[in-house]
Amino acid sequence: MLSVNREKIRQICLYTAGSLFAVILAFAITAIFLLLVGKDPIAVYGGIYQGAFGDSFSLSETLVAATPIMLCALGVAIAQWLGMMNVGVEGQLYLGAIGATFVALNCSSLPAWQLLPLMLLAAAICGGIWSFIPAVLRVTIGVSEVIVTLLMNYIALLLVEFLIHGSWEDPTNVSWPQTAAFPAAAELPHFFGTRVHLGIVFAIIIAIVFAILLPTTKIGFISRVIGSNPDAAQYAHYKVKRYQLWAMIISGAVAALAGFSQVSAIEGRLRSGLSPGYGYTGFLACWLARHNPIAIIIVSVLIGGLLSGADSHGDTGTDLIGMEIYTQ
Amino acid sequence: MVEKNSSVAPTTDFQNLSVQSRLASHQAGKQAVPSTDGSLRIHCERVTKKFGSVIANNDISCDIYTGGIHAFLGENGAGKSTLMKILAGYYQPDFGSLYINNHLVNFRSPTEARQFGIGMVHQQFTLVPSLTVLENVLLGHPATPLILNPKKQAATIGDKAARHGIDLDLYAPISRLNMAQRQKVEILKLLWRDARILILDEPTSQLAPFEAEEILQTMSHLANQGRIVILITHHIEELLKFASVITVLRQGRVIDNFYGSSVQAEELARLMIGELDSRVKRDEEPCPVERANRSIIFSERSIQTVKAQKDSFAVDTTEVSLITVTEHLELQNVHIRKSASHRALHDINLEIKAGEVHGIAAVAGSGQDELVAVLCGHLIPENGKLVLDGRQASWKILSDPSHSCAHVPAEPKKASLAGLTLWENLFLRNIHRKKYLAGPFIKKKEVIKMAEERLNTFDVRPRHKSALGGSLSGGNLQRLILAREFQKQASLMVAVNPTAGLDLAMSLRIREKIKQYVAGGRRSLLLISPDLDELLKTCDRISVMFAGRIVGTEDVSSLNAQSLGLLMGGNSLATVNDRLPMPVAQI
Repeated sequence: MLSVNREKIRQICLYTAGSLFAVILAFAITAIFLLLVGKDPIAVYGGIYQGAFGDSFSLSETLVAATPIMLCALGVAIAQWLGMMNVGVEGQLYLGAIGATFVALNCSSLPAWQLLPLMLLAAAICGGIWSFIPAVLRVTIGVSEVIVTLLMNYIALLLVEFLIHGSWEDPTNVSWPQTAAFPAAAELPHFFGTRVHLGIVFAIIIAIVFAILLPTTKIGFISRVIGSNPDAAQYAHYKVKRYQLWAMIISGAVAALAGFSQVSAIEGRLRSGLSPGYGYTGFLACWLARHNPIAIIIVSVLIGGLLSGADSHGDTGTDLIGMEIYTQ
Repeated sequence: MVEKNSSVAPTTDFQNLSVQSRLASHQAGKQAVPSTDGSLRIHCERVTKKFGSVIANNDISCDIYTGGIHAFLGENGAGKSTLMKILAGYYQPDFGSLYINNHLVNFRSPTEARQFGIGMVHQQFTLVPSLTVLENVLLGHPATPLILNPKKQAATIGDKAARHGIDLDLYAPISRLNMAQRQKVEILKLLWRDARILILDEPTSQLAPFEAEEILQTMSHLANQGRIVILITHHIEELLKFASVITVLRQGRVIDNFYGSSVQAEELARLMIGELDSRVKRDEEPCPVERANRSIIFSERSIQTVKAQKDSFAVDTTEVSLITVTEHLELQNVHIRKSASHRALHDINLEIKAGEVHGIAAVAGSGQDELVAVLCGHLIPENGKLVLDGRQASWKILSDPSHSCAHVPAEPKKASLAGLTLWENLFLRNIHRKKYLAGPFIKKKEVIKMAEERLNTFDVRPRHKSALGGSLSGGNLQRLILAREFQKQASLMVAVNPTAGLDLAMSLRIREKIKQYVAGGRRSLLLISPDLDELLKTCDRISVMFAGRIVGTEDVSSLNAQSLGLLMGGNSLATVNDRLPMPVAQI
């Protein structure tokens, strides 16, 4: 027994050492680029840290940026646990936004406690439908869900453009690509006067729920078997296709929550360019966290910190820095 | 499996002067004496190889010559593959050395060994199924240029093949060849590289008897032409017929060397297994098998009964639940069309009676995989009826987890979870059992208790709680799967090659377990195995399949290895009865 523990500890040490080395290497290479551009790397890194976690405002901005990334990453993870690669979280985010917008614009007389859950439901349904389409193609005729979800991102973007310039055009500002403002009741509550909103609570709850359900329940077990060895799942007569289908639907619904929370709490309307790539960033976060729900929370916060810290640092090279440090 | 016939031994071949000169000077046929006529010779000097705490080869010294097949006999884990991998350059010995023709050699990689003319054919073929024979042979050669020009080499390769009695269509894709032909392609690859030392690791384990004969004939022929041919095997009858020298290994040591014609099967088997006491001392925990009053069947000539003692595979009667007790399962007129993923089945009529062990004997690719898929609910036939206990049933019942049959699969990797723990592997087929669930949650303690008991009974190692499925060796994985499927207590068990990768002692325990499974008359078992010996000794009736049809179903008392072999090769029952005299009843 002892030898097993020793082996495990050895593996954990090796893995941590490897990751640490990768991070240091990433910082070092970026430092070289910064020097070439004539900036002081330490100052830049310090500035990013300040902007990310330095004071309570920075922290709140970090969490605001982290929330949609977290939700999208969880969406990717849910599908990936059953072996489906959902690259369409960006599109599902937009579909969630569309669903929420529809309810907000058409049921504006409802009180918040009715309006918000309705918006959430609409968002989840729209996102679920958007991911259902590639899922059904995959389980029935074996079409690659990677390609279909990816392409449907573009369709989602165009759908948003269509609605914004068409029937949902803002009557008070026709030339601007956005919808009318939502009623006050359609705004998700915020915490302590900051921009941090209920969305992050959704994300953390979802992460914890799955982190508990996967190892301890029968459904979780079946899901893990399907993800780990679909042949074995087939051999044991599990309903693999049905599980994969539902995994994709839930994945889309969770990503849609990101869209819902963005239009509700941050934007207050649906506009073009709602998401600066939260979906793709979320996909990255999921893989960096190796699809582990708790790790996803941590990684999303770190990436959110990077984005908001670089943003507030206001330097031209910040995008470059962002990319460099990603590549660990 | 193969009839012992000493007149076919290579010692009568007059090209074999080296063997005869050895024969002339040996005493009582027990020791191999070094030759002096300058032919190719390998000498292992005190070779030792350890893997962690396991000593795979322990102080092995032996000599290998040309002029006949040199066979290395031993159970799984005896060290034969390790020794050969050292010779072929895959491993370096921790102690000891290798001499070829009195030159000390030290191969640091298989490439170096290859340059020396050593070639090895492994148990798993290294062929590309979508390419042709010609392309596969060319790919194996280091001198093949970057841009292949098969037509140039085709003639030369064809020549070489013909000279050694290998009859193959060079332009056939590997996927269309049967196992014996693929084996020949592997050998041809070695010949094309001008290999002078050929090592074949268990070449006949997947072959029907007539296919095995072909391969061994080819190997004899090659050995007689001045090459060294080494055969690793655990099939005693084969090597008695074809090997000129036999080295028995056990637990990493050389036990003895013999001439092929001068030793009996029982003696070899006894030496192969050795004293069960010493094996038990090596284990951490004692093997729960009664050792007294137990002797073993080896050949048709020596018939001794196996008396399994008080069996410690306790049957947990509380586990029997929710399973349709089927007295009698019948498949009537089952047809399956050929498709991209499976072969066709034509008009299958199979009846599995309660309380019987029903065997299926077939060459690889005869449709037995599709038959298994149908019985286990993975494939639904286009036509045909499923009749359970005299009443027609829907095919869907076979894929219902609580009613489906127990299935020991052909490919254990596809029925086990490498990334999950052992207890989770055992839980795989138990998820519908209420005793392991508390609402939607898994009762982990209960499952682990069951797992520990099962792993213990079937002697799976390593056994600690957090061990992953992927850490099990082939034999242990097989035991885990057997443990899981036997526990299911289903009324039908479909076992495909259940003793693959297991040593002799465990194989016999499993055969006994199979017989016990059906004793009592309420359950039945379908046994599919390439080992005809196993089929003849364990089954009550055997059906033979060929090309997607069932060629015949006979009581085992009216069958023997030859008739089975003929049926598996596609002959009809009438032809078989004409060709062979009435077989002697087997006990």
